Amino acid sequence: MNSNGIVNKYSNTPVSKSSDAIFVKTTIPRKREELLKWNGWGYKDSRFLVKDGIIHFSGSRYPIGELSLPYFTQWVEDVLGVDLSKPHTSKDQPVEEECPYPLISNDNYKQIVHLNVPFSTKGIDRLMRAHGHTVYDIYTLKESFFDRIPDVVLWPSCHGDVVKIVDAADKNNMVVIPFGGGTSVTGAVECPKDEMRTIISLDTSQMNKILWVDRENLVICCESGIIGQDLERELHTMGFTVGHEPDSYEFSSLGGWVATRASGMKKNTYGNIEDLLVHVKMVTPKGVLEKNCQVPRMSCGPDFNHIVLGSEGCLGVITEVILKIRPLPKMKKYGSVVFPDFESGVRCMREVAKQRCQPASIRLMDNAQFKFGQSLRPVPGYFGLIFDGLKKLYIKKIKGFNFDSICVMTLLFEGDVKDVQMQEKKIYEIGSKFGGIPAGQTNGERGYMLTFVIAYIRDLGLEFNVLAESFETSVPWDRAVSLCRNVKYVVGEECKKLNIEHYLMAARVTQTYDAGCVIYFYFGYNYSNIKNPVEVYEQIEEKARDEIIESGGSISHHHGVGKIRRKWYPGTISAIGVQLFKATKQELDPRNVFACGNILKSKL
Amino acid sequence: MTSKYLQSFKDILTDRRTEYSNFMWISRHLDPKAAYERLIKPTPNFHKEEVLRSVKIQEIIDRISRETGLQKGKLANNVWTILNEIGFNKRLSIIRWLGFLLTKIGLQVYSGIKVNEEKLLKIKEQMGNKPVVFLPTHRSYADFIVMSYLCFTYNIEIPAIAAGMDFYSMWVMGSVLRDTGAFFMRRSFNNDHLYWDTFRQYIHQIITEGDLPLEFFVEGTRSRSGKFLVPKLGLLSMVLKPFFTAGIPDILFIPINISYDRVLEEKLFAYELLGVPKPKESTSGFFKSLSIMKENYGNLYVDFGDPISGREFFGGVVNRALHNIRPIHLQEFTEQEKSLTAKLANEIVINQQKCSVITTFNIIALALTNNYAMGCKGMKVEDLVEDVSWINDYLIHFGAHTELDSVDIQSGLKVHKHLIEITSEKTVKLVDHCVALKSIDSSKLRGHALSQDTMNSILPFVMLQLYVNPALHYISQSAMIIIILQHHKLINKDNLFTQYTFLQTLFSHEFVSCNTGSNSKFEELLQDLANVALIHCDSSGYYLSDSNKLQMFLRNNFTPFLFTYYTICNLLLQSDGMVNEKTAAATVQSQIEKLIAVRKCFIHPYCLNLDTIANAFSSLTSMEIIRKEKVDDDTFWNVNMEQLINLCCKIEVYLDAELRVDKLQPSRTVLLSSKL
Ligand SMILES: Cc1cc2nc3c(=O)[nH]c(=O)nc-3n(C[C@H](O)[C@H](O)[C@H](O)COP(=O)(O)OP(=O)(O)OC[C@H]3O[C@@H](n4cnc5c(N)ncnc54)[C@H](O)[C@@H]3O)c2cc1C
Repeated sequence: MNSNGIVNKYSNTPVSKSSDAIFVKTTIPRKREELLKWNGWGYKDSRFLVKDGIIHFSGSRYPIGELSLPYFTQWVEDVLGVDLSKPHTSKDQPVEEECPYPLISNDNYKQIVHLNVPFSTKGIDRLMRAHGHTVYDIYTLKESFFDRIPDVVLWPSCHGDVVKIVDAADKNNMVVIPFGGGTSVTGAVECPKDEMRTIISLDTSQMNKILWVDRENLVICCESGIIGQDLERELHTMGFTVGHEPDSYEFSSLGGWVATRASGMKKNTYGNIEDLLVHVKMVTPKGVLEKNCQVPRMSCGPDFNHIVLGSEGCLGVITEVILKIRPLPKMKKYGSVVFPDFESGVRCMREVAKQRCQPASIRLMDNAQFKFGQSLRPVPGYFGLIFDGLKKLYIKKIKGFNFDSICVMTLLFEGDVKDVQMQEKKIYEIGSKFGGIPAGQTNGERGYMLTFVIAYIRDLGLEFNVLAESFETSVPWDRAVSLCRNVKYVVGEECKKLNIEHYLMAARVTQTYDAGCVIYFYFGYNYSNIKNPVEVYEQIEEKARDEIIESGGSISHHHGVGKIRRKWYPGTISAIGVQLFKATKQELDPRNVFACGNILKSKL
Repeated sequence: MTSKYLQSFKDILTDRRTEYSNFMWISRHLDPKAAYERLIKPTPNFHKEEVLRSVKIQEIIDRISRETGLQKGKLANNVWTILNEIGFNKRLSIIRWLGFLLTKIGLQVYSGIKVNEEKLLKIKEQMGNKPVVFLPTHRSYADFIVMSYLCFTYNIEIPAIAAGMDFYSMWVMGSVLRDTGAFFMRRSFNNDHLYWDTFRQYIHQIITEGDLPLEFFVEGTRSRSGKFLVPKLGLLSMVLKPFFTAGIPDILFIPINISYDRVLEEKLFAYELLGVPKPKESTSGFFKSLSIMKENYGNLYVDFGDPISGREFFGGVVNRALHNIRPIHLQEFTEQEKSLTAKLANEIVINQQKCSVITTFNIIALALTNNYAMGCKGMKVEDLVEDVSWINDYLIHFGAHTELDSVDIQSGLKVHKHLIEITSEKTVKLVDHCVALKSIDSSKLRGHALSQDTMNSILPFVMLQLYVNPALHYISQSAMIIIILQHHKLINKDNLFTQYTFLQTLFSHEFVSCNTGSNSKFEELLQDLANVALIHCDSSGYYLSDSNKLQMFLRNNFTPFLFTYYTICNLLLQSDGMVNEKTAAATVQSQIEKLIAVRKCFIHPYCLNLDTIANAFSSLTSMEIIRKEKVDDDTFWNVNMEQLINLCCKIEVYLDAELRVDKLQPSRTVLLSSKL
């Protein structure tokens, strides 16, 4: 809106000169399937596979690449009852004829051509943008097909392109679903089954320039399609970092982070996305929502940045974001502390939060996850011997730790050498007050490395009738332990009822705040004796989420609502809150162009 | 049928009788099943320390210290002292020795301790990952001993048991009980805040962090009358709070019934019911009662109701998320949670009722009482056998597990030979002087000082009633329907329901029932009664079948209660509207004593019992016919006369004509008044 109160379809800030912009080489090609798995997580060359009865990890992108994992092999057999000699093969990549014909009228097709923005109606392009990474998505890819996929993919290359697209969609009764990195775990990029209008998947991947860098104020302006690893790589060469590292940051996009209120592993040092965001532009059917200045904070009525943050593709397309940057830290160091039990670990984390001396990242794995992590070490000799031989004996015999209750806190320190030393000292001091003993850097490092590798395990699991998924929540400190217990109990009882014999239910505390923390659950089960494994999984997760909420936890800390958690949205924000959201939607998108149906089921 | 049900019970004394050495068994290796297995087994002391460390207690200490200027350290010491008074302990050696002693005693006094083993094992299987609460009926001190012994036998952790303070002060026994897992709770009228906050936190601690089953009696106290009591909600609420506030994922309630052939305390109870106070629990008293144990007490039966899971019971109704905001220790119950807690308590008692075992002697007692009510003075053995048989059929029809097929009448009588005799003419009757009267310290009487004569003649009746009462829940509801139909002759369903609901409300403190206000239960009851051809129904309404003995039987066993309530109402009518609470019960007793003395018809001496009188006052209070009022230091019942008259009329129609006030002349001689 300009000063006359007239709605301006175009942004009122001048377009950047393209000479200032940094054209970032994108890691991910337009033909995503050339680099990424079409039906699973991550790079094609990186995956778990079974060779001679032993699990290996392939490729050289990750530190465990090209290594055999005998302990892990044993672990999956023991815990998940997997028979590695009987792999299950999934569907091949569908050929063009197998994909549904796009629903586009001739008129609409003409409109799209007229936009002069690259587009595709090829089946595989549309399929690659029809889903995120929920277990439902992946299972569907491997075993069947989606009921509805986008009809056309468009690749805008700048804010102006997006304005044109949204405008055309609004005028011609088409649907737009913004697509960033496609790492959503809430069903957010899926097409609503019963949407009969033309669905455009607006792929932001070609909108990935760093438009300018402001070293004085330590901010950069980026287009929303830039993905995490590209952003960091470019900034590192300039000596900076944003420091936003969700576990998906190799593949997820800036726009996606803003749209889902993402949280990065190192938020203690750098902040969550809402702390990093200084300015944002969102293109809606009614115009562009943005502020007129690039200030650190302002008092100006309710902050509409928070309508953009977490909008989950329902209100508009985020096109440009001004983000804070920091000088690269001089030093990066890992660490770990083992505790006799989860409760002591949580008490320690609480104390660390109280003293506000969190390092960049601090996480606590429960016993199940600790054991799992331990199993993911290659044959002894490579990663150090922390829990082998003498040290294991020391921990068990001398400290009286029980291997079945022990848990580990992993740490990542960043900063000047001196700062890091001080931080370390403080953390280990607090740790020892709660019965913790330092367990070395290697363990910490492995913990963080696993973060990126864990996502690859699901694909292995699905080859052997194991279905795995994670879900998260935030909770006040005083309820953290009981919440974990309750949820584990509920999942355990559900499994009993469903005759699920082999399953893993693990929890970890992944973030700390002044007033509470974040709990991340992993659940995986062997579905050999179950006919509808995904439905059963969803049923279990639903029970678990009910229990989370009854135990004082939230609907989600960072994954968002999407489609899979709509059930709990009204209860979370009150009836009036629902009205408010609906009114916002009605105001910004009266014809429901952004009909993804996230957060609240949109009327059709 | 039923006998089969009982045949599957296992007598846990059998192995003890046959094994080579009880001692070997007692000292066997134990690896008991916990309610809630923890990685690190919490010690009794750990619980106390955690309570002291808890935010709640620390905040209270802080506050009191600020308000009173008392040192925090001193207050912490006070809490610690309280915790030492409350906290249970666990000493295996004591448990084993006690186990040994109890084996010997058990073998001596009981013919059998019969347990529904299949159910128990199923329950044991469900244990391990959540708090479990055992809720036995409370008819005798033997209850918790039986429970602990059972757990010891079946390799289940001996529960943490809520015990009254009277045990606490018993020399040696107090600490023995503590060492076997008892924790102590003061009476609820004590209003020492620090004590109650500490106690609540202790319960919270053992529920959320403990590993043992918890055991307490929902009825709150030993039922002296043998009747199921209206449940108390205090401890149950404390136990439920961690569930409502999601400190625990679930909690399992196990209703348990213990039925005795003969209750150890029968004489004491009879006295107590009449107002002769119970002796303070003392260790010597306890050993004296041991010496009484030279007698035989027959069988006892332990059966288990279906476990009630908190999650299932409250699931979908209670939204625990309502407690998500503000700290857990500052959470209060919602109104809905309060009312559902009461519902759960009721449900527990109903389930205890369902798994009660009706002994042959219970049926004999019913038959004899019925017989006396009809003005007879004892009955022929053959008649008794016949009556017992059809009463048994009736009970079975209403779902009772009766002992009958496994125990014959003779042996049922043998255990009670001090109370019932068979004369040389083969007549079965109450023994005249069954209780050696002790000298009664009249200053300690809770009720009216009944004359020696009255005492002598009524005690056997009261004792007999102790064995009628355990079966009353199979009778009271049917009886209500019967007396309504006897009066109205023909009544439509809606009217019948209204009348029935009225009686239920009137007796809501007397008979625990799941039926109150429930249309479906009402329908069920009518169906059941129609099935035994007690009532009929056609388009014009409901009516009785031709008068028969079963109708009379139901009426006769119900009348004493109706009559007591009626008498009380009449006394209140004649008062000046303000009745001193302290003397009210005694006045009622003395009135009933007089009525019995001049009776023209049979008035059951059980009407004199203080239990029913107290229940009646509670009911009248609930119905807002009387209201408690404090004047100076005294408490008075303030009577709403108008409503009372109304009530009197409504009750009167259901009584036999001879029992109505115009027929019972001397009633006006006793007056209830504020001046008493
Ligand atoms: C293995 C794995 C690990 C993960 N770890 C984390 C983590 O640590 N922290 C965390 O916060 N999340 C995590 N996630 C979830 C996910 O990565 C985040 O939600 C992320 O922000 C999504 O970004 P994306 O670019 O992939 O968005 P997409 O999946 O493409 O889209 C997500 C939603 O945002 C909308 N959207 C995307 N771009 C735009 C735009 N430009 N304008 C408007 N709407 C848009 C979409 O329409 C959709 O509704 C993880 C996911 C996976 C699979």
